[in-house]
Amino acid sequence: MTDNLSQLMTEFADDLAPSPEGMLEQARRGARRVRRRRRITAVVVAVLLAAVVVVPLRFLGGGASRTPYVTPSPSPSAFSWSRGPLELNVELAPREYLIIGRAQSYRYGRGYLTVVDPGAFDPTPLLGGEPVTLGNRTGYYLSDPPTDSGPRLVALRDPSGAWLLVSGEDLRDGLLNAAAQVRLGPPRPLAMPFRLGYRPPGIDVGTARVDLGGAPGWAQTNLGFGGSATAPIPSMFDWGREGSQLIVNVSSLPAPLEEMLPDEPNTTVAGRPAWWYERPVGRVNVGPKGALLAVRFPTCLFTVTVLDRARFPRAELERIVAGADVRDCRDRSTWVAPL
Amino acid sequence: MAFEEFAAHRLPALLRYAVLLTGDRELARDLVQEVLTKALVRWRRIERLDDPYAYVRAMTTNAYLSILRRRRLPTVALTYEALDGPRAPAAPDPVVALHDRAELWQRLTGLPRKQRAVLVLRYYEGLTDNEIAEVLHCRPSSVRAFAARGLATLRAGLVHEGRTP
Repeated sequence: MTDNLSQLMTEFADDLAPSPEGMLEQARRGARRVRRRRRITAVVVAVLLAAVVVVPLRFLGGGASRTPYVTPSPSPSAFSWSRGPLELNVELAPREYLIIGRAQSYRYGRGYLTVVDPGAFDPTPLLGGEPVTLGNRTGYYLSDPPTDSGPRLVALRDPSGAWLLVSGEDLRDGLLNAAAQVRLGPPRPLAMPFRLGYRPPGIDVGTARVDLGGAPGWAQTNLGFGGSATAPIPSMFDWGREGSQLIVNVSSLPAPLEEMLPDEPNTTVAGRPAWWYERPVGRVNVGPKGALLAVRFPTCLFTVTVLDRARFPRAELERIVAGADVRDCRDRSTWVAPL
Repeated sequence: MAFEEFAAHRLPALLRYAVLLTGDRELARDLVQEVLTKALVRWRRIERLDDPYAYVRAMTTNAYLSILRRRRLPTVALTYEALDGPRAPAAPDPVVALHDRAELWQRLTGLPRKQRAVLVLRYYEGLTDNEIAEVLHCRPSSVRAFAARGLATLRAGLVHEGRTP
């Protein structure tokens, strides 16, 4: 793995490094400012030292204590909590968000926010943390928490009963400040570039994910059925581990999945070019008993994967595709509730 | 070596190193800009060293480990996928094997800072554990511990559901 790691790091670095343009000039300007500031500081320090000599010592010590950390209070969450399985409550527009069972997660800046429905979170893993209060929310701050989503975590109980879990790379105060910015509100439906007209009976939706990628007009959306498991401290990293039995994935073209398929379309579904696999293919993990059906629409690749093709045979998957109302993956104004 | 010469030759490498540390293009640029400015102020001392790049790289590492500020409020994700757009395989997707670049990038950027710094110094910069210990002001045994924990975290994700690369 470590050979891979070296190679991938080199690729990451080459792909992602910012341009050095203008940095030398900026460094020169910055250095001039630093030198000027140092000259001023030297003068000020000299004056202060002179002053300190005449300040009675009693004014310098005793009674000083650390000022408690204070953050802006969050706005009151004056609403009754409610949320359907495919609804969001956070007033935030990140580029990636998902729902797994009773937890909704968002990726922001350098961190992750997860909101767990009232009654669905057991705070026991947090109890060793530092108690914190932010406005009308109380909870804990933990360094090195037992979660994959970052080295630090702030967990707060909202007056609505929901728990807010904010984690990431920020240090304590940065994380607390980020947590203080979180606003919860009435539920709004999650939209996707498709609506399913048919789904196999006896299996409920457990996950939903929207990844807007970053490039204008590009998106990947997923609906997972039959699995909603989360870690004790839920996070975005539960995605892929929730145990979905059937996943509908609809992505803008060019879809990453299509680029990974080694062959040209090997079948047609509803008159559209399609791929059908009952084996692992390329880097696509179909699974020994699973299957994959991918169908190309004008702006989207519509994919259905299942873990057990005996339970969900090809005819069922084709029926899902045929019954779907597929919108424009590039135009979010056309998106609808997927169920 | 003049500072300008150093910058011309080494600035791109520093930026590549910093983006691996921070996982964030803007933050990497800010970090290196700050370090570059400090290095210029101290250049007369730094240029006399055997390896000015190693010194400035250590400044970058320490600046990264001591980031206290979060000047930007969390608003928009800046992930590997966001940076690379549709060319990048999407972040964790059950139909895609977990050795995706995006997945590894996500796991790498999720590591605690020291673990990530150790892995980047070891596997990207090619430093020995003793050299890393000097950069991080810790014992080589600590470096090995950080590396082991970081690799274990990466492996834990990659081995999940038997999808080891």
